[in-house]
Amino acid sequence: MVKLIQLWTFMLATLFTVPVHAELVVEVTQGVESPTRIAIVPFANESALALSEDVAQVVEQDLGRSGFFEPMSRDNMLGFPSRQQDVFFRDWRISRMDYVVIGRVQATGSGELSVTYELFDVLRETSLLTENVSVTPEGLRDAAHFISDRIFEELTGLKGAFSTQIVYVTAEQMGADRQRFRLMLADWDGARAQTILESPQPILSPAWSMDGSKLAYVSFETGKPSIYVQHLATGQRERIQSFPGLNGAPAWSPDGQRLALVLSRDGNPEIYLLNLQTRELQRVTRHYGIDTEPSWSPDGQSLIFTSDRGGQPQIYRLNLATRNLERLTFEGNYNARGRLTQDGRFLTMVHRSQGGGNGFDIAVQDLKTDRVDILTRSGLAESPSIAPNGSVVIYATQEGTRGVLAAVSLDGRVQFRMPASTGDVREPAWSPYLR
Amino acid sequence: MVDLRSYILPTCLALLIHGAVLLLLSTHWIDHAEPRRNTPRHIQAQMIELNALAQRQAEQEQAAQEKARQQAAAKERERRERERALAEKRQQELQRKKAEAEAKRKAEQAAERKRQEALARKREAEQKRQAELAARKKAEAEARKRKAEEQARKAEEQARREAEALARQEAERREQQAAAEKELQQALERERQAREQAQAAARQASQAVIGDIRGYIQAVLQDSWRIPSTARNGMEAVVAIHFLPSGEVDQAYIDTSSGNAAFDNSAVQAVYRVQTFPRIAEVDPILFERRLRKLLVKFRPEGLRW
Repeated sequence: MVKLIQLWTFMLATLFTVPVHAELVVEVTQGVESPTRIAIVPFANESALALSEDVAQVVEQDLGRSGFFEPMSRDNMLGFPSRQQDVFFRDWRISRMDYVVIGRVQATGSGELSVTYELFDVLRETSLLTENVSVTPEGLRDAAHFISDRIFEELTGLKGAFSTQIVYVTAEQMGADRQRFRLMLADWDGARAQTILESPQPILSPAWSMDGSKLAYVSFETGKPSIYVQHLATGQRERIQSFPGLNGAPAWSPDGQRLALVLSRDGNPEIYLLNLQTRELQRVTRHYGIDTEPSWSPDGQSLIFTSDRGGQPQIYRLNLATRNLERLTFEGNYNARGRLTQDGRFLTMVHRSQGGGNGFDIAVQDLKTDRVDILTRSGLAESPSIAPNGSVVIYATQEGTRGVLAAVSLDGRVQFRMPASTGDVREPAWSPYLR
Repeated sequence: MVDLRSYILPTCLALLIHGAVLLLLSTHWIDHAEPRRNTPRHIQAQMIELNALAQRQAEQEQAAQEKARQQAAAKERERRERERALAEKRQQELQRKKAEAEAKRKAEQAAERKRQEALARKREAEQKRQAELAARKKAEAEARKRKAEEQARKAEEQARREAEALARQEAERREQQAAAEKELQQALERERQAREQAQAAARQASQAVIGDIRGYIQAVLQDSWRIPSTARNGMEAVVAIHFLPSGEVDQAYIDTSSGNAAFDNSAVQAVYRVQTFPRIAEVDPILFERRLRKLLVKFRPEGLRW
């Protein structure tokens, strides 16, 4: 009986067993390393006002400069739809676009403007995002950056850094011996620059607090270098520390409680930690070589700094808890001003190749693989500062005899110049996420 | 001649009897004056054997003939010797009667003896018969017994045979069943093998097609895939694609995420960008249903900077 059941089971099993195939898996390991194609259609102005900003153009620039996107030129667009029913996906597909952004600006009763935008997935023919932003007529650019952030985050998963700001220092030759130094604050793309400090004496090393509310910098306004902290909202400033000798390169700890700085009060430049509450000073490095340009790791556990203790400037990492010191850079004979991305994986720096052939360029090192990529070719780059989302590095360079700001995406794909600014521009510092 | 010779025996017998009678009479002559007991002859005769009777009749006949002859002679002699012969005749008659009686007695004795003998024989025969009967009975009983035993044995044998036959039948039946089952299984096995072979062949053929298609899809998607800046070596996203028989992408979605939205998105977009894979439309519909209706594409960049 059992046998019979077995037999039947076997028969049934053979009869009804449909061969089950594992799902076919195709593996794709190569692709085109190119930015995402997106069309930002000029937003329709339905407000009956002359708008101060072309919102779509700001969005287009934002996205394009991030290196992640390749916006479509308006000249190539077949139409400028501003509403969903006018979007013909087929046309955009023919134009080889992956995404389309449309929008319109309308006036609200209260004198504000309402910016409505919509993001479409051309290939899937779906709407991904639609939103309404209310701003004052002067805030159109903020609205544009906001929209850029939203689109960027929607499509890349990374938080957009288009609403962030930068500070930098300009030096303007005023006469034979006179210079005017300004501490400038601008949008991330250099627009809407404003002076937050003006001084006949040099201003150096501006640094953002992690909450974006304060700046620390070195000013020579008293004749010798002192470290100041300035509140951006109120303009209120205070001198934090002034020791004999060099006082420089302040860097805020991620928790905002401490400043890392360089003092040469004990002979040669060493790195100290200053507790902003207690004003307590703690010496971190102890070496006859120069230790300078400290910056914090995103977790606040260690400091990155430049030291020539090895004979040439290289970047080291010091774990504050264990006092473990580790040299990070080995390529090139000059690596300085190291900065880590927020994920702690990439180190940007000023780099000079072995032999010094090309001069100083911005390089990025993958700390996971120790691969170093040189992002610029000018040979005159300095002071790199990374966007909070790690997508773009802003740096100072020379154009002719003039210092200018430029930016390069971390993958090196996109480089762009910041809008021309009066004077010699140097030492940019990128803000953290604001708001 | 025959006649002459046939007389010899009766003559001899007659002479013997005469002699015997004389011998007997010589002793018992006077005593045997008593009248002769007329025992019915026929009874006696019954007891006598046919042979003896015949002899006796022959004797009697011979005696009668002799007497007749003697009477005739006597008559002649009567005529010639009447006086003297008379006495002699009586005497002779007397003698003859005595002889007859003696003969009769002897015959009776003989008959009695014979009867006794016959009786004895009969008894013997009876005994013999009885014995035979008993023997037969015994034999019969034995035979019966034997027969019964035989029957019992036979019955037993029969039962045994039947049981054996039954067992044999059962065994045969089982054997047949087992054989049938075996055969069935073999048939199934053969069928399975045949099916497997056919399937293997079909698989091989379809495998070739699938291999082709796989390469084709891979090539098309590699052209179509725009690797985003956020992509890193080691990222891996699996996109599930549902095709229509026309080769058109019905839907594509992330089956296994890389953890990076842009990367995942780029993979799905790569599929939608192609929109239609014309060569899939050329695939045999069954194969399409089995292997290509839904497939997985693993996007795993190699050789990126990071």
